[in-house]
Amino acid sequence: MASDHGSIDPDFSLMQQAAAKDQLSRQRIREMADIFRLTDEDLDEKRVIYSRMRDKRLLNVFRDIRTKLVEKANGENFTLMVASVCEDGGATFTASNLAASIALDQGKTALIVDCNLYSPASEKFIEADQIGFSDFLENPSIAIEEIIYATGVPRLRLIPIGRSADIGPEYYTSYRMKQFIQELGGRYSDRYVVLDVPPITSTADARILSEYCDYVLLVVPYGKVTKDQLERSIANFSAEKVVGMVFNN
Amino acid sequence: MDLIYIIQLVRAVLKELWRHKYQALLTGICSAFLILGYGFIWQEQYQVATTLYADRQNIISPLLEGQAQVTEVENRAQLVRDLMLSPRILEKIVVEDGFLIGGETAAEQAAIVAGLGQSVDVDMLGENYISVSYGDHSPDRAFAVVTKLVDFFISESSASKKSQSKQAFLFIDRQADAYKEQLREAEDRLKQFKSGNIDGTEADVARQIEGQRNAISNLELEIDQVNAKISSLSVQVAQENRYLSNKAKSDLYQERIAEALSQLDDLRLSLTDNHPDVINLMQHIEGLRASADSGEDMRGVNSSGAGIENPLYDALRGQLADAKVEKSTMAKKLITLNTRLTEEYERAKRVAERNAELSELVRDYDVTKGLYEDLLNRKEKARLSMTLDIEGQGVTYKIQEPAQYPLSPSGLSFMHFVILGCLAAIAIPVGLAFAYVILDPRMRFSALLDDESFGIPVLGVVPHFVSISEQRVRRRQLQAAIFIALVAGGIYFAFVALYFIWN
Repeated sequence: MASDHGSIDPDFSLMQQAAAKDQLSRQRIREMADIFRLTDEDLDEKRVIYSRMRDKRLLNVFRDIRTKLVEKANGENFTLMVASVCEDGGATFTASNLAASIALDQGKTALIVDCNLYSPASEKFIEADQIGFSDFLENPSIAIEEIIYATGVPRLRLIPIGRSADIGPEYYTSYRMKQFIQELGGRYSDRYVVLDVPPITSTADARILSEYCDYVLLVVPYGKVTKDQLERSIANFSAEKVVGMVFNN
Repeated sequence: MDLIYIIQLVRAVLKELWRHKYQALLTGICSAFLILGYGFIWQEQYQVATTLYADRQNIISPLLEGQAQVTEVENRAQLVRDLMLSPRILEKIVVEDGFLIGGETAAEQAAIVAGLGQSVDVDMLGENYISVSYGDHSPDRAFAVVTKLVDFFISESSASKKSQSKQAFLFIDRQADAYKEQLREAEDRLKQFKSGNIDGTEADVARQIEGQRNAISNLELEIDQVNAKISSLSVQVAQENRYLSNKAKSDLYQERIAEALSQLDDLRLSLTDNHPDVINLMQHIEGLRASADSGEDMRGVNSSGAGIENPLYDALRGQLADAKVEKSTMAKKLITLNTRLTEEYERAKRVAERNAELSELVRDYDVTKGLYEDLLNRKEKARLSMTLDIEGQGVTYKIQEPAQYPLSPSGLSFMHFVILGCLAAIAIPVGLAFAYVILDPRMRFSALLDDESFGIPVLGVVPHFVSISEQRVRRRQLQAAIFIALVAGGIYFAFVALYFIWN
């Protein structure tokens, strides 16, 4: 991981347990990946880029962004938070496609974490009402492997928001949250984590979650944000974390 | 950068149009139909215009040039407008040309008349041209209004011109008469003066004085001559004897003898002494000699007895007497001449005194005469101008550009509204979208999101992901929009066709 999470003191037994589970999960993910793969038509329908797509411009834009981010991280994996400045800004679209572009590389895997409690967007890859991120935070008995799902895109995994309705932003500061982030990124050096978070201007979630990330990528939607809003959004994060912005048409 | 900005602007406008395609369609269709509807109720205007040429010369000004000042009419355009749009003619036109539909109150009629007056444009084009134009829904009425207004105006102004020139003539005529009277008075005064003044002119007097002086000087010379003559005659008279002496007789004989002797000498040259002629002559000479001798003897007798009167003495005495008479005559004449010279001097004094009076009278006469002659001249010109005006050749206003009957409407016609509607159907939605893009503060241009503005880099500009299903939807939406537009266009042009069928 590019950023140090040394302040979080890991529980050794838990670590061991997790390691064992991870082995299992990799096994399971491979199996799952083998089980089903989305066709180009499905990907197109889900608005996810794929290498044989006709709109090479779109493909190249995401590849270009990916390359810039990887260069920035000096080849190490990272945890990236993708946040839209306002509602319907295309954060989910950007996050999933950025993850997909990372996953296009044979040597890298990408994991999308849906952190948007208010308008979950995991349904486009998996069925609704699966356990996920919120259940993991609430229920310590749930292991991470249990909430990682295959997306049908090779090397792209997903953690959905989950079923628990009681959870709020206060959970983000919990020990469980720290454990979650550490396990995700720290376990595999080829795994890139992309957090899909709620819009910056509507909730404080993005600001809190940015604490656990290496980088913050802002999505500026076309014709929805004023300069002032953008400036205020940028000011929410520490300058070194904001890696850049994407103008989303 | 600018070009990129423009491209993005155009894209943004198109994008907004697409995003609000049904609103845009509705706006476009509504605008087109509103404009078409306005075109239906729009009445085409037929504009008729005419240009008048105004000769700005006032008839009295060239006639009285330098003699009298003519007041210039201010604000000619207003004058022309007032004269042309007089209620009298407007009312006539309103009644004759169907502006009334019947049943109007007096106030409504007055409003119609006033409205007509306001809708006629009367403008001065430069100094001398007046443009009159009027627009109406009916070409006949537009043409009638303009021609009637102009005809009325020209006849009216020509009538006033006629009276003006006649008045000018009458004025000058009266003036000429007045001057004629003055001139006659001046002439009378001069005549009276001249008849009362017999002294003649200074030149006459000077000539007279000169003549008198010459006569006097000549007379004095003549008197001197006569005096000299008298004195010399007196001397001669004193020297000459009153009676003649015998000596004179013997001298006579001696002369005869000498004569006879010379004859004798001539005869002797050719004849001898014996010739009888010579002998006769010698005897004659002897006889003469004898007579001469006897004469000497008688001398004493004569001197003692009464003598013979000397003729020379008498002649001299006669001449002397004549000279004396002549002298006394001249002396009298001299006195007369001197008296007359004195009189002439007196007369010269009188002439000089009256001369001042005369020159005043003459000056008066000359001035009056000059003015009178000038006025006579002008009177003839005025008569000519008046004749021209009466015969209509000297009118002030001419039709420069006659009114043309309007064959096609001017200004906006129904076709304009049809075209305008089509344009509005496109331009209004596009314009609104453009205004929205420009005025909306939300960011639409990645070109404006440069690294410097916010201190963080722009990693990418993500184009819109159009999935195959979305593409299908879009195509269907586009087809629907085109279909709506085509249907609307069909209805639009059906209305246009209906309009032309009705008309």
